[in-house]
Amino acid sequence: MTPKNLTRLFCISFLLHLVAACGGPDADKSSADTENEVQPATANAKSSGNNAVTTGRPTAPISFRYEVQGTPIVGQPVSINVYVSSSEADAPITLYYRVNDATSMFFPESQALQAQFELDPGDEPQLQQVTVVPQREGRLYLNVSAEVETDRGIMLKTTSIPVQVGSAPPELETSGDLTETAEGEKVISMPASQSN
Amino acid sequence: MIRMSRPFRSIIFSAMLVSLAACSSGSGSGDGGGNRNIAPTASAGDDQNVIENAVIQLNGSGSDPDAADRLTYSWAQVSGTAVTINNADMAQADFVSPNVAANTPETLTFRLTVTDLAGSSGTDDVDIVVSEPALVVTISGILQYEFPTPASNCDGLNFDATTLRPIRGATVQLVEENGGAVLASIVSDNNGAYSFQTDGQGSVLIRVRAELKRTGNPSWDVEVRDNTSDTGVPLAERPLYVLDGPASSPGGADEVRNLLATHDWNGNGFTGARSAAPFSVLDAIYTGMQLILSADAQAIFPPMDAFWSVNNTQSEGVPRDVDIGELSGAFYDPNISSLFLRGKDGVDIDEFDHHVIVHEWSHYFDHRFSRSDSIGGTHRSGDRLDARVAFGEGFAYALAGMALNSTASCDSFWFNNTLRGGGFSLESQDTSPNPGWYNEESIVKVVYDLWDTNVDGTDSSSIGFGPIYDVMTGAQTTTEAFTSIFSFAEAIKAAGTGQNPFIDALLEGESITAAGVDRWGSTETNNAGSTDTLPVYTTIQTDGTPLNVCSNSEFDSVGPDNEGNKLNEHRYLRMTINTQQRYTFDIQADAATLALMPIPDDLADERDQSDPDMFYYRVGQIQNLCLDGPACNDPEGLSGDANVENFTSFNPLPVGEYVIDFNDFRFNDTETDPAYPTRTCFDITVTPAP
Repeated sequence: MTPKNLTRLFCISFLLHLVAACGGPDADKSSADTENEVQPATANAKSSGNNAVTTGRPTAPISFRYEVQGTPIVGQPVSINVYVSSSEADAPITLYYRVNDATSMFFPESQALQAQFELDPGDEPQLQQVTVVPQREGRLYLNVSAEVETDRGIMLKTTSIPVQVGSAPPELETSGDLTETAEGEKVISMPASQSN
Repeated sequence: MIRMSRPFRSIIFSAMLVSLAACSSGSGSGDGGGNRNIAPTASAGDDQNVIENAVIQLNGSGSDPDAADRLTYSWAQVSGTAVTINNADMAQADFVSPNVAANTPETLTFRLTVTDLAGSSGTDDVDIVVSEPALVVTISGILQYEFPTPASNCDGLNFDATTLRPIRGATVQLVEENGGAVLASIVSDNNGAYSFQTDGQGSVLIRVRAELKRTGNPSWDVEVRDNTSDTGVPLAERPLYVLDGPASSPGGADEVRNLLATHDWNGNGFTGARSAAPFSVLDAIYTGMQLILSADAQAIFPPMDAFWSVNNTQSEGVPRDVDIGELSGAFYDPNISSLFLRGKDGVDIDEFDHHVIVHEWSHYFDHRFSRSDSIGGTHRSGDRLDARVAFGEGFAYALAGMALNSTASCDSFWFNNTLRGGGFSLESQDTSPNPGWYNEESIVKVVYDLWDTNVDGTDSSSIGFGPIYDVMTGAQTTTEAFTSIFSFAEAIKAAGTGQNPFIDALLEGESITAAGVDRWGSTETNNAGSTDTLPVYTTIQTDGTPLNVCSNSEFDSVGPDNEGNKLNEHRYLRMTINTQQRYTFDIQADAATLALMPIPDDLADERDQSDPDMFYYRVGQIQNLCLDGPACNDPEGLSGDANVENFTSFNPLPVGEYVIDFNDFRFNDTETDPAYPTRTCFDITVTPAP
């Protein structure tokens, strides 16, 4: 059986169960290369129109895909190729790079935190290479923000690119306290400010 | 014969009866003769728990088998603080209960003695427990959450202009601090008010569950949960958010406990638990439901969940894992009737973006109340979309605007180091980029302006929400065509609003042909500049007459990766079945298209040749499926054969109208060869199967 047919069977089972991910924005994408994680932007599966997952706002006319070069290792610089495409003609684009927690991952001094360029819809995606240095294992995130000048004004978009370092699970944040009620139900207790 | 007078005869007769009676029974402590007396039985009544300083009835009674016996009663106090017994010689006596010390009940014991004429007696005791009266105190208050208003031009949130909004319709519980028992449970009102009565004993707290529950007509069941917590259990069982006030004992006085869920914004980011978030999400959904209830007061809302987490982020990573909060964006998943919303500090937060929340909730409305044939996928401002996607998304924005009575659809997120945002106006006076039936923003403006009472641009009137609701839950669910602005417009014009000129003006204002509009878009002239766009539906005969249909990806222009949900990537066909039987569908890439493909086909390259596919539907229901047995488990019409698709329907097709979604899968495929042409054409036939 060819890989193509494997893909089809996978999607067919989705269709039979009317599973929305097939064709939705969170759909199955191409398989990731263990060396170079390639993350194309759209669905690679056949879907019916029924039960499709849909995302919220119409976002800025720009899209990203990325490749993490090599295997990220704690303390070692790792390059991420960010490919940027636009559907807006002659659109000046400014990218900004950021990490939420510099103790987990930081930019080397040589890494510019901003890039500017122009793109046309028919252009090849603009390659921007970003280098980060992971400081711990886990799933870390490079935040990429884009500013696009359009006829309708400046439009913004922000997304996160995951960088998996080692096999450690992601460190999840908590809000409130996970607790159990007298009836055995787990709830997240969040504090109220109380006044009289 | 001595004649006695009547009174004398009566006395004698009575004496004889008494004598006879006395002789007929020999038990008891009687006269020691041959006739024994039986002692009476006393009953002092049931034990009682009473309050102090109250008149307490002693409900005694006596019985005696010697029917002629006359019984006498005597109450006496056996123990406890001495009280005066009133009517102590009667079966029913009473006394005033004494004062007792706080939390120290006292037991008074009384004894009733019942005696008959022969002096035989019976006794019974009763315990009266006297306590202080039970305390009734009221704990009441207002439940609110902090809501930062959208900043000017939707550019982030204005925390300096934070308002307090009521937590409406939420489950409120009175909970014991020790042990956590729920003593009482109610639902907050539309002002966020609640009230409990309690005995004031023990330490209690007020708990507000992030849920909306109601049974009957109408009914609903909404819960806000954390998808990233306790991930070992199914999503529907992940922890529910609750808001807990501090525990204390109310003592002896009524008490006001106002609870506030705070956003915990410190000027640059969030600190603390961000308890306002789940309740803001809940309130947005509550607001959406109110719009539906305005048109259908008996609406039954099937259960749904909303998942929000501080870990939920906009992520490019795939496969995305909601257990760790990686989302493609805010979205609704109809397979589990759930919304997923972002909350990641520094990336994207949705909890205060009520337009975003109600937009996604509108997809729940589509799913549960209406019908949407949208194929989903990414959509950007100005995109020329598949008509089904455009209507699904556009209607969702409009419904959010109607529910929130707000014209600015705002979405806040981080841009670099700052909380910024974006949005657009729902009003028709603000021009849509690339207007038309394929543009979600055009759909927004048509639907929203049908509802709103503002006069602007082509918006000169209003039909209110009722006709819109009726169409979405009526004609839109039964249309043979795909759900689009065309099916909606035809139905809304047929709804008898008396405002068709107004409806036409709104459609024309967005470059949608209004005259003669029908569900098929038969009169549409706006082709978005592509020769492949019109007609919206092409009729295909079922007698083998070939039809040439072209699809293209010219509007799927963001990058090399096809997204597959743009205008012309899917072409719509109409097919009328007049005879119920099986039919054979045959699709072949035409000669011009084949000439564009590498020759010979590189069998190692899965994506260098065209891949025609076909879905066919009847009233919104896909018909490619066969569920009759293992021989037909796979949907038909979706093979991976290069340049061709040929299949015979699993089942005889019932007479009726069908629509076909025809597409070249290469335009949906993320890994299509970059050299693949942007336009492909196919010859299609439908013939009765032998």
